[in-house]
Amino acid sequence: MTDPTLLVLASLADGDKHGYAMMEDIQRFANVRLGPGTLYGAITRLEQRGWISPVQSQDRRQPYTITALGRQYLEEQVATLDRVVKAALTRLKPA
Amino acid sequence: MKGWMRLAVRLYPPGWRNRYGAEFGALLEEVGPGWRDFWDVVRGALAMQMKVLWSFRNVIAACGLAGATIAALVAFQMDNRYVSNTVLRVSTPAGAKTDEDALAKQLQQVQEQLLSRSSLAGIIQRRDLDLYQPERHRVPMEDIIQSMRTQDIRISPLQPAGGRVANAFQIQFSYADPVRAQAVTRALAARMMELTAAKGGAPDRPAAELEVLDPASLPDQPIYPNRLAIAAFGLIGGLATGLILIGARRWPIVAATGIGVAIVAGGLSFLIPDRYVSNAVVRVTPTESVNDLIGRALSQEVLLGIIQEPELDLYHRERARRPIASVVESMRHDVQILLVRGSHGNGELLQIRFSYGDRHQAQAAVRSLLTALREAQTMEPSNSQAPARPAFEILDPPSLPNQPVFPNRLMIALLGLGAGLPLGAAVLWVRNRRTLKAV
Repeated sequence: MTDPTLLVLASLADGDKHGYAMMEDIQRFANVRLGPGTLYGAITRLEQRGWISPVQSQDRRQPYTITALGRQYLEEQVATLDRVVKAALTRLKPA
Repeated sequence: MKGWMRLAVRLYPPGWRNRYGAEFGALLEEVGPGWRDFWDVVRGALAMQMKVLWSFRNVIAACGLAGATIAALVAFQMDNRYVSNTVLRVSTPAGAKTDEDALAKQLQQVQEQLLSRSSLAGIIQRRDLDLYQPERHRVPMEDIIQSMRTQDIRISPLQPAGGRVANAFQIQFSYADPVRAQAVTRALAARMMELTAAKGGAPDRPAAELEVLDPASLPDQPIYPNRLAIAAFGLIGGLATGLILIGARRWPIVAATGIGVAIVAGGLSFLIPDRYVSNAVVRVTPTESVNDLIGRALSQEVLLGIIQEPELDLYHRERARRPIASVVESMRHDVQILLVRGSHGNGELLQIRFSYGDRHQAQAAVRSLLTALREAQTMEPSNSQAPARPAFEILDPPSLPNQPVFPNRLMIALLGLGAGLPLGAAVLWVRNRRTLKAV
């Protein structure tokens, strides 16, 4: 799964993070390195859709938090992926 | 690398930089970017620019501006048209009794003669006028005359109060040069007066008199093109195109289906053979009913003779497949002989039209039909009470059509588009329902 939107939502699902922290986190759990342009493209889209929002920050680094709407979307996507993964695993077993 | 990265960041739209610039800069400082990140930032900036560019407001504004600019450029390339007009009054000679119906018929005949091929060709080729010079190098004379008759000359009555027959009328002529527009209007009025004077002869029916009330005007302002209106149409067309583009981007399946069906329909229309129509106008003087004359000209034997003329060789394929009587019936459907106006007491005007797949054969067939009509008139039963028969007069010789009248391929493609868009919407609806069910 390499959709940057889902990766950012998944990263924010366990707590607020700023850009660099998201990059590191995603690299760790998905083994995908998002470039700065790709990451901020996803952040821009997600904020416009109301799925993430900025939180107060003392320095230039801007942390983001996942909104209820974003969490609902992530849950739906994960459920779909889960069904796909289960179906694929079931079909792979007999082989 | 920092310098390159600063340049790459500047590629983002200003609005985006105002919102995200500071935090994005902080991220780049922490990342310590290399060339891979540089290209990633450039790609991100271009994607963001495209997104901003494709905003509703931008697309609509750009398309509207482009439409208005193109229309304005086209409008300034168009030639000006000047209209000169003159007003004539018609009256019966002093002492003669006024028969308004006879007067109207007499004027009608004069107008037909004035607008006949020979009359207009004479005016076009007059050395001092030398009209339609550029067009005469490109377009056949017949087409120029037809366009002059139907588009550039207008003869209209000035309707008096009380529902009486008009006793004054206006002649208008539009042309690219105001001086020539005036000269032609003057020439048309003079010719009309000559023809009217020549119509007299019978003691009980003297010629009507024409008098110039307003001489041919010299127009100082063009009436066409209205450049502001054309630019406004361009603006509206551009805005509509912008809406279509946004719709196509939002619902690409609908747009693709519509365009696909339009292309298929347009392509299939090329399987439909072209139909060309040639036509001619003739004045005949039948002693019997004009319908009898037309009936004789379109009899089975006459049409069969025309079909089998070696130079024409019409309906070649159909003759190989179908009985000849059925082919003759097909030709009867393709020929039209129309009575242009009611009886004037001085002959009937007939328009002969023939539609066929080849424009030269269409013209040649109309020529043969004219011959058939002339022979049918000659063969009419003699009538001692009938007045002396004037010559069979061809007012408009058979035209050589340039453009097919059928099929209208643009219209077929547009109908395809009209059918394809709802089809695309239906496909999108079905697809969305399936996706929702799957989730």
